[in-house]
Amino acid sequence: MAEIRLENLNIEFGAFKAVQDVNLTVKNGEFVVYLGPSGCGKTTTLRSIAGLVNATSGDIRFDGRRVNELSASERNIAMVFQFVSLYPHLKIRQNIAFPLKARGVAKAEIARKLDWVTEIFKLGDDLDRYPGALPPGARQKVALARAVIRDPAVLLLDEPLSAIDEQFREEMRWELGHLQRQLGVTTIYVTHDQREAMSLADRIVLMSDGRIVQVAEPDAMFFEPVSVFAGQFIGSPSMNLIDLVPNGDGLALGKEGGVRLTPEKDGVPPWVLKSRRPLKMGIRPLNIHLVEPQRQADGIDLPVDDVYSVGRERFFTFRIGDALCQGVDKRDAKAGGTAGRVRFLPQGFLFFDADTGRRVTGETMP
Amino acid sequence: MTAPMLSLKGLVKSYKRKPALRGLDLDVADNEIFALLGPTGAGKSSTLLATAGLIDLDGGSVHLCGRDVTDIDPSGRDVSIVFEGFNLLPVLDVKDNIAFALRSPTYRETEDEIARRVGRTAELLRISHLLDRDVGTLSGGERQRVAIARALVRRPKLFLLDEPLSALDLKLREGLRAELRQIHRQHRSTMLYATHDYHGAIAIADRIGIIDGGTIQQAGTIAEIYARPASVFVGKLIGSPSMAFFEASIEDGKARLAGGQGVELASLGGLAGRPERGIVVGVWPEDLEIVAPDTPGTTGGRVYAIDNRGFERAVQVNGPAGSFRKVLASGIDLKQNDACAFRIPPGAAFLFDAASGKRISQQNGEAAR
Repeated sequence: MAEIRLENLNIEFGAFKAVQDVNLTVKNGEFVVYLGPSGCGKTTTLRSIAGLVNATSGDIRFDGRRVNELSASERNIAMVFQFVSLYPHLKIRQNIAFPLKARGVAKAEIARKLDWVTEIFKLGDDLDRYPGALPPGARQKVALARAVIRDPAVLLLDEPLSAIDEQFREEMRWELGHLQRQLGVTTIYVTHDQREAMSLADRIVLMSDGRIVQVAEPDAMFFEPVSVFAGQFIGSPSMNLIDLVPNGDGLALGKEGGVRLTPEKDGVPPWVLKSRRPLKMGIRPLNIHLVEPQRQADGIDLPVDDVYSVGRERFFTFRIGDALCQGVDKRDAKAGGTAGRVRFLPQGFLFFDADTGRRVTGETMP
Repeated sequence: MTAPMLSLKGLVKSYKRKPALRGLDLDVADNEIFALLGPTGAGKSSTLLATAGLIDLDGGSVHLCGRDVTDIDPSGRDVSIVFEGFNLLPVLDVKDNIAFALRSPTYRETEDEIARRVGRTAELLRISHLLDRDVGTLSGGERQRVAIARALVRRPKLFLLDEPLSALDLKLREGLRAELRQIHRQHRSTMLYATHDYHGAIAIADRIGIIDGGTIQQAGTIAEIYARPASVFVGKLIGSPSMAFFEASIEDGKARLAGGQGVELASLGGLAGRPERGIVVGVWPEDLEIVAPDTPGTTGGRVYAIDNRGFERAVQVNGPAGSFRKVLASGIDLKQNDACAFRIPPGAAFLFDAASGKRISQQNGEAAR
């Protein structure tokens, strides 16, 4: 196990800048997830750590030692890809032991290591079977066991779940979370699926266009996005984004037919009204509640369009001007109720610069 | 009461002697979104194809608005079907793809009327800006919208969707689900929507039918299914996380969880029949209470893994009676490998026959909720 450090990492393919100025320290034993849309540079970063792609400039360090010049096999990394390649003619036990056997590790040591992974991965029943006899999720688990049996400095996972059926994928996500914490191995995981990232990561590295957008723990990523991109990439259903439009001497929510804000009642902080730059307001569906139609109280409230129950939660839509917005009320809805309006919870308000997409707060406002 | 929009009676269909539908019954009401939820191979597609008239049935009948259409051609049924892989015509632009059916001999609308309807439908699906593009230049999400627009523009009585969104990425899927509901509300059309994805089903449907082995296992609103789940199979498909199941045995008027709590049978509204071979206790995870380890009258377990969702955390607990997953109430802080215990509150348990999987406890609706 090792601490992995990337310093001013740049990777270029001809004129194309795949990774730009990436700085990151992955702590010993940490589970870091690189998240972003396809083409954002996350897989290229992973491959450079593995030694499969050369850095154009910058340093890659394992426990402080620069490894840029080392080949993939000299770096002591373990990598698991989307598509599992086990040796079909070898039993599971032989598949897992293979990396140790290939290095000439003593038999007794191999047996000891095999016992260790078998215990953690709960593979006892499958050891004497062949890969073809296992379901895809179990094969992925075997590939993982084979990857970690030789104590790699870092475990690199490239979208390991994306080729698995939806039903198995959730199972494997739980397994992977459990196993990584039991093993304590430094892990870097690449995915485009924000649910996987939120679920598994100690920290998430969100990337876009070759650059790091935000590095944060999952909770902070959810509640404190640095930009519209971060806010909308994380969370499901997506964060609502609403224009704030000048209206007389104040502001309105939404373009045409929007809602005029009355700041003292609506919980919108005063600096928002004074902003000289155009802003947008972000609000997560969870921060919008359903309320009784006749209740008159402070706060932004609007008529609801459509309400439907999802298990014991209620999903709903409403309109601001011509924009369709979504909300989720997780409070137990006993009988469906007569909820006729939606109310915004002021603690959920996020504000963004309409031009740059950057998040602005009272302190950072220009 | 008027006849349902769609009524399927005893549908039977085999492909090369492999049964796909085994006496499937289903009613879909007028102006309803009905989701058919089941695993791959359950009979979802066959049900839709039979409704559209695209396969010949071995038995049973299909009724639309009370009229038997079993022997009527697809074109005479006034239903529209959208498949998973778009089937657009590559030589035509978006506008002509959408208008295609309206120009067919069955409809033969005037070009003015066609232009008006294509325009309105495109607006609804927010593809107005794409009307002059070739379909080959569109993204997956755009193509799927065009396919839906093409089906919708005919204003069919009944709209059949076969896993229409499963090929799309998550964000797009969510957006389109909300849009489909909007379209439905504005159009007042009836939709039958087949999916293997629980989230997809509940996000769109008024009622859900759980399908397996070519028959409907249970149909109802999500609240009805929560109140009276018909079987272990249904419990495993419904909920997020899905229903928790525990091995148990009956002793002294109680259902005793292996290594833990005894649930008073009297609190379950009595049993319908005797279990042949053991029982399984099922509980919706929302109802399970997580408490401190060794609390009297509870069952012990250990945290296997934590699933962070940003605004909340879900937990998997393993114990002697089985494992379950549950979204944690805020304020409960558990870590992997922590010991804990859980309790089933009075009236929250369901009893299932271990052999057949069928529910044998007679819930009284109130207590079960």
